[in-house]
Amino acid sequence: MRAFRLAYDGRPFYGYQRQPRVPTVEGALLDALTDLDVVDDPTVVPERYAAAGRTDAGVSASAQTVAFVAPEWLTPAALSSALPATVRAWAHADVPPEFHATHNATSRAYVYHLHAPAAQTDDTAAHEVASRLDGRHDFHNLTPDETGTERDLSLAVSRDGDFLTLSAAADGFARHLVRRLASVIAVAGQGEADTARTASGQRRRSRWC
Amino acid sequence: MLTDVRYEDVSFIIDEAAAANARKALGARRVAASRADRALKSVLNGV
Repeated sequence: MRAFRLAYDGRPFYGYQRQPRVPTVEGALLDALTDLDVVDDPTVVPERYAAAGRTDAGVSASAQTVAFVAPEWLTPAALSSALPATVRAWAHADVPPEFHATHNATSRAYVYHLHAPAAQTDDTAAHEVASRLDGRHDFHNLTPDETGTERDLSLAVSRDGDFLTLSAAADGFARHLVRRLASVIAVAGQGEADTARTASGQRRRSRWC
Repeated sequence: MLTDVRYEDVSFIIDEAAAANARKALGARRVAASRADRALKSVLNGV
């Protein structure tokens, strides 16, 4: 059983998770494993295969993690040799047979870079909304999920030239939560703090904890 | 961009040659600054 770190430029892909008829990172990975004869068919995942998290269409990763039963010779370099240039394996770890890349993850971190020149951005408002969202809350208004919406989230915003950098970390994220958090911060930075507060559920709901 | 996933008791061995190859391969796609390219820059820095 082996875990791999993957980096990819997500722009050419319709997200991580494989889908029929469109390019995905997972599809590229399974194609590579087929080319390397690790699996017989790209529609079948290797034994005990799991990925740490899904990324949306166009979203990149520097440390996506996948794990599966792999032959000893399958090093990051060997795996990269069959991957497209936009996806690279760069580290590995031999893990116990019971390891699960999704369920055993203790934290995940995402970074979004919002194009928000200082002259056009209310940094104070963006920081204020970020600080309100930081911590343990029920984020049901920012995800279509019905369960698992309460998360202890670490959220910070910093300025980097013409960009606001949004850093978010938690043990896990509900569907679409990271992207919607980024949208809320962006809206706040555009001077629509009231809209951002409403979107994040702070006015309408009292389920924050 | 997904920048980190952590596990207890798992230590990854970085393949320096593969990491360098990743920087080179992904870096070749770099163009003028934009949101996407800033994200790509972070990919490269994170590898």
